[in-house]
Amino acid sequence: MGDIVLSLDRLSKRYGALLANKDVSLDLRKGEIHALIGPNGAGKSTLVKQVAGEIRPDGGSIMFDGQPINSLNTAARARAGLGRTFQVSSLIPEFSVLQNVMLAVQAQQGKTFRLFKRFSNDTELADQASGYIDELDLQGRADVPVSQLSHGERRQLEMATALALKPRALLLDEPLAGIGPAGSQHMTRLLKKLKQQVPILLIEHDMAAVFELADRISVMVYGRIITTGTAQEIKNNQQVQEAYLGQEAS
Amino acid sequence: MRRETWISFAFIVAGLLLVLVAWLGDEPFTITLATKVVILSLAGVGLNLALGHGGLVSLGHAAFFGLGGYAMGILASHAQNYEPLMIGSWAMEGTKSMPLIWLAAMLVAVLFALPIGVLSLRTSGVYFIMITLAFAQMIYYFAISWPAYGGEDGMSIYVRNSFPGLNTLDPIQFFVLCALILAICLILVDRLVKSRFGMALEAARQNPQRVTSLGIDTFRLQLTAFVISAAITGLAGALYADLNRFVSPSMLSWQVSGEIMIFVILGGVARFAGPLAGASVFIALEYFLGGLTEFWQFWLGLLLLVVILFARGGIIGVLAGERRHG
Ligand SMILES: Nc1ncnc2c1ncn2[C@@H]1O[C@H](COP(=O)(O)OP(=O)(O)OP(=O)(O)O)[C@@H](O)[C@H]1O
Ligand SMILES: [Mg+2]
Repeated sequence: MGDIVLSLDRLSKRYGALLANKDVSLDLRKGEIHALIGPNGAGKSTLVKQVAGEIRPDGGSIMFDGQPINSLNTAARARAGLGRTFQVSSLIPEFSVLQNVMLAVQAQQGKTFRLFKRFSNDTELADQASGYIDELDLQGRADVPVSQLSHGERRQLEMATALALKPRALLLDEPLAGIGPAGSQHMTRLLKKLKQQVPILLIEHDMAAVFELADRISVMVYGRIITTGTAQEIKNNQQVQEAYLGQEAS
Repeated sequence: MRRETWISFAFIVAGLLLVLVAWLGDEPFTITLATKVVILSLAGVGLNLALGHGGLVSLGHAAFFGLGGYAMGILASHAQNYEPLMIGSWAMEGTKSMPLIWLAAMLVAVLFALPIGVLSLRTSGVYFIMITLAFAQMIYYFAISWPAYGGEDGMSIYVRNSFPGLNTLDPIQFFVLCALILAICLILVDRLVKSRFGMALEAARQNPQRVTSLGIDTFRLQLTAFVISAAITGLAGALYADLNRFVSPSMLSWQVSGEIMIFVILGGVARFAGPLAGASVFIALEYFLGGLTEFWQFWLGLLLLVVILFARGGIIGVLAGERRHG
């Protein structure tokens, strides 16, 4: 299986008495969107944080691009090509859209420690950043400060910064949360386009979007993955119906 | 922003005019007072980089200020007594040359800032404040109990150190020298905070999680800022000791850390001319109010309270009529 980009092997994480992740194994292949769904508190964000290096697993291993990355810190994993967005969007609040993306471009180039190269008129950074801003349909908003962006626009901006890192895998934690139906449709279209460039591990509660986007879906309940399959398989799975989908319908 | 630049320059020009008038009117005391403002501003410029731009609230910058002072005191005392300075078995000449003393002061500040930064940057918030304070207090008590260089009493230098081509004993010449150093440091720090590095530092202050997820090591970023900040404050310490021809443990005391912090906050956190405005007002209050009442610090405290509650941008922020860093 040479096309596996990211592979998690029996990851476990405990918060006191709570087993937030138990023996979670999962992989992400080139060219796919692998969705991770599950009820609130199932442990999805906990998994992403372990992959991104923000929390240490109690057990299990993470392979990225054929290399174990357990021992790398968060920044090193990002440099290795793991891009991510957060469930609660996380941006530089006093920066403009352009500045946020420029910072990501500069990080990707690994040239942050240029102490005297002026940032604001660095056309090399700005040109590249503008490309990502256009790609995420934020053109015309480049100079707007983050504090004045709509929720949906923040999501788009987070995605633009993630892309600017030229990631080789993306971890998206609920990119559609709270952006309204129009925003959701827009973002779904963007994700479809993005999938051509980079494989995505997608956490999402919006089932319509998940069924439309995902090549494979894993279902997490109480910290365990109970099944993995195609959209059709998941829709027809009895266990999933009970554990999750049924719950929503009722 | 435009208005802030304008205000900053107006402020600097006003200060220079004041000194010019004092010089023409032959009032060396005023010039010396202005020199003190310039040197303390420089200490503030150093702290402003860490505190204002990096969000690293250090209550230990007196350590670097005092170490700079002691670097000057030790080198100059060995030079004036014609005793070599022994570092282990390695003998070094003392010196009365300012440029060499400045280099030594910055070097010493950097050597101390590195381990202090490495340890204190593991924490944040109130713990960072406390750890930086604790390190400074350790150095303070060490200086008090170290008899070789005056212990509690400190030590005096007979003649001010020298700078090639200048008579540093002439108040106006020493003032110009200090003002030039301040100008250079202001410009360097301004370039620094507007650089790629500075923007990343600023971003890390606002949202470290975001910066880390971009693959930038916020620890390295902040450590670099902390060390540069310490070097500048150390340089200020060497100049301050030279101004007074005296260095003592009081330069290392936590009150000094607090005062440097007051310059920054009073003048305007992360503002170009903030430390200048802060130090000027502080010294003016100390001098004029201090002449009238022993309780001038009460009025200083009141002013500080007003600034913190109603004008987070400090004096510069109020004059520039804008709010930032809320
Ligand atoms: N730092 C923490 N300390 C203790 N418990 C935690 C911590 N973080 C998360 N938890 C708990 O771990 C469980 C899993 O949380 P997690 O955020 O991973 O769920 P999730 O699947 O992302 O949920 P949601 O869909 O609501 O985002 C929850 O019960 C949560 O309360
Ligand atoms: Mg979550």
